Amino acid sequence: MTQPTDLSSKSKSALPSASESALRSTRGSDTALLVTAVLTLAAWGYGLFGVGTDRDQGDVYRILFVHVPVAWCAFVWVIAGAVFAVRLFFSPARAQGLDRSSQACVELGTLFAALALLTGSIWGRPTWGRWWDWDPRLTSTLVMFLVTCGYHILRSFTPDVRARRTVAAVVALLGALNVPIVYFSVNLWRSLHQPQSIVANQSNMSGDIKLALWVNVFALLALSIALYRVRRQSIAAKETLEMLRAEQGLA
Amino acid sequence: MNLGARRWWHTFFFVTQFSLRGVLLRKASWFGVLSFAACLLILFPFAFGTELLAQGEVRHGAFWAIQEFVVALVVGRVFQAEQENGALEALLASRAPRSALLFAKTAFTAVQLLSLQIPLVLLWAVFYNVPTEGLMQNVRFLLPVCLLFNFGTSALGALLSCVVARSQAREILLPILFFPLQMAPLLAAVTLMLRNDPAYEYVGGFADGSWWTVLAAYPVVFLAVGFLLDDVLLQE
Amino acid sequence: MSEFGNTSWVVFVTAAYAVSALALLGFALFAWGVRRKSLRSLKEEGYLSDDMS
Repeated sequence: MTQPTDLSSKSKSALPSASESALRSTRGSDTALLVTAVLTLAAWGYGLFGVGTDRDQGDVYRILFVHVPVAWCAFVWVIAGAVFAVRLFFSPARAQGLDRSSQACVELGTLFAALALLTGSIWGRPTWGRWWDWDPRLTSTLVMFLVTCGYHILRSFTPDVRARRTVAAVVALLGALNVPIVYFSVNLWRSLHQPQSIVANQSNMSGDIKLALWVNVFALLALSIALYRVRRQSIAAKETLEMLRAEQGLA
Repeated sequence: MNLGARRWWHTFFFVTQFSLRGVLLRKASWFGVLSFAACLLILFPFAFGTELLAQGEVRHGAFWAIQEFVVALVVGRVFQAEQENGALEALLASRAPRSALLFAKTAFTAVQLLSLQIPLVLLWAVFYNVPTEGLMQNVRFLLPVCLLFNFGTSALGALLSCVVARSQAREILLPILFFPLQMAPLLAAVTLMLRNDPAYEYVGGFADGSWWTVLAAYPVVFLAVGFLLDDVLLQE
Repeated sequence: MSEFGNTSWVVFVTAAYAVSALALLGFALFAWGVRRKSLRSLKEEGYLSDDMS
């Protein structure tokens, strides 16, 4: 087996300097992650302790400050993944970078969709008396979550790198296209008798609750962007390492 | 008609005929799928209890659930015949327009699904005691619903077959990707059938037009995606 | 109304926040860990030039 020191006979760095500096510039993203995490915790604290009790739902409504932001983040990141996927089709020369970005976006979309389902279910128990309800938003989030899981399974089952980028991009695009169709169709499914959710009735929300909601949305979005940056770097580092090892193995 | 368009239509009809001939030669696979669907039709009453079949939602729901199983089988074999005899490689290596290949496969799969649905409806009407007073109306309504459902499903299925073609564990991957994306037309088909069954009073919130829109949107959207990404999906 | 039904709303609200916090923290640690491990391997195997360390 070739020892690492044998590589000194070749040039020390096998990477272009731009890639190297990109891999090394992790301090900025770590700081951003820490700052946004603190911001999110502060926003949650405001939602938990800074806002009064709701007239209809008492204090259970406070789950709204985590459920709604994660649900919106889920949709945002799935759509972002699809945008990178579309760009990949138009710029095949940049496929490697765009695929990594798309993967990071869809991973975040999967995570937030799972959280939206969990928090929605937890909110449903004291509110509706059951863990699950075929509410249009929950159902469309479940469908989106299943599609993103399919995306990851597809990636892991496609050994060829080029084929993996292409097929993953197609599924990312299909998943995002499906979101408005499913949301629209399951929204139609809701009967006239089903009560409106608190989100749909935003005009009935008091000003401080609305403010707390928006503060939480922006804090979580900022945190998700910081998470994206870190995850994107980790994907790039791992793939670069695997690629270089493969080249070394062939050489 | 210019040369490109002529070549497109030629490829479309050639592949459709080729696929149809394949099914006619291998009738066993068509009968196999029909037998499988008939077995499910018989299995569901045991699962739900036969008394429950008197309810309209269970009757219609079971029919469309069985459709989904049939669809999964048929869609899983969209390109199977061509892959087995090497015709797919020849088609891709030729200058045949890829979108024509994809559209032809979509059209053929939709027609194949319809050919399976016809005997299935008869069996369903018999085994599930569909009330005769509304049967003809049900069947008349079922035809356009099935056609749109089939085209939407086939368009999606053909796309996903191309997606998983170069992956391992295709038989697992295809259902995992297909079923979540398929839920909207399924919901639309079931709701339309329930709303228009004269023997059953369904209280739903929205007009039929909305559901027809969903059913019609699927083939349009996924055929458009197939047309735009044909080179990416069908690479040699 | 400071309570909804009974006092167990605390359990539901706390659970929702705790699950979200743990999941986000877990993802951050996973991403950070993979990045750190890969960069370390890149450095050890000589793919990153020493003068940039």
